[in-house]
Amino acid sequence: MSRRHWGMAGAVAFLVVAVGACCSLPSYTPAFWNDGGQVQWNNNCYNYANNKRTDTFAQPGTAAGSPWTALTCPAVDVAAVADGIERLPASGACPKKECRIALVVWPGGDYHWYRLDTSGRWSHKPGGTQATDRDNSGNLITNPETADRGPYTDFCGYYCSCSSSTEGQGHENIQ
Amino acid sequence: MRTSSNLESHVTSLIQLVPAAALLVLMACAGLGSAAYAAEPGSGLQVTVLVYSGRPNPTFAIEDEAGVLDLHEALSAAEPYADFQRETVVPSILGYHGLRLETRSDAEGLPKVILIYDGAIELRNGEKRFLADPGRRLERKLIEQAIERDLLDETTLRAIRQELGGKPDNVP
Repeated sequence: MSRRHWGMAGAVAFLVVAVGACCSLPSYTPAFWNDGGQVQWNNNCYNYANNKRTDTFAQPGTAAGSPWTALTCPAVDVAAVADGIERLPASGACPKKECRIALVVWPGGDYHWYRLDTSGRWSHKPGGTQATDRDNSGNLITNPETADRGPYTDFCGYYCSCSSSTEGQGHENIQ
Repeated sequence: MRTSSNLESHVTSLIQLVPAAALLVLMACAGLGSAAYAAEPGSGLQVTVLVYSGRPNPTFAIEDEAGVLDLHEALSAAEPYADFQRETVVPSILGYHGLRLETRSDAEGLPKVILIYDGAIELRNGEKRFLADPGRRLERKLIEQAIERDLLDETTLRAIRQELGGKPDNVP
């Protein structure tokens, strides 16, 4: 094969990888997560918000080697950013068509994440329970800042995650 | 004399074996009465307190025979929850949302997975069955066991108590 052909093959390979890693918005597809078994009980809110199945109950910062150290907004924020999750810019738009996700904290208790779906509504997966688009009061989640979040009283902010239109195949590196 | 001495020695040995034999008989009888619940290595149940969304939930094991028998008796005595309407007893909510029990082997004669929350018990063993837990008695009892094992910090315990509608029985 000539050098020209090798160059073309390389370009094609690069395109395939690049397209494969393109961020896209997820649709609300709870059936993927709600199998009542392996997927449901081993993937948490962080997995769901990033649309990435790991079966490890993924923890912010673990993939980067610096897991969260306290159950406060700043501590979980730093851990998630270390994983490559980006804080939402002041413009209010994710720069690379990433999915918008939101972090909330139960002070001293736990943290939780929501994600924005193509439906324009928010959904979440409380721990090992089923994924849902409803809050603690049974209302559809149109705004995670005002949703009934039980003890998760601190709203930390919005972030951008490189999600996927294929359920469970988000591109962020989480563990 | 020699024969008499040998006989005496055999009798003495037999007498010494009596307690051991009695113990063996007792163990065999105990095993016969509860063969299905024998606590073998790796057997028993893992109980998970479903309270967190992000961080791993607290878990503990019930491995002793008495503990497994208690649970089996509680489930055997529970009435069917005839008109249970939801798909599962564990709701998708933030905060405390129940207990998940998973049997570690088939030896216990219990379903593979048991979910408990708010007066209802879900048994999953291929198909689902729903039982009633009046007064959340079984749920409270298992929460007490988690507290006894010092698994729940004050913040978590406060949220669980609030959801259970007061202090769980016998909780200090």
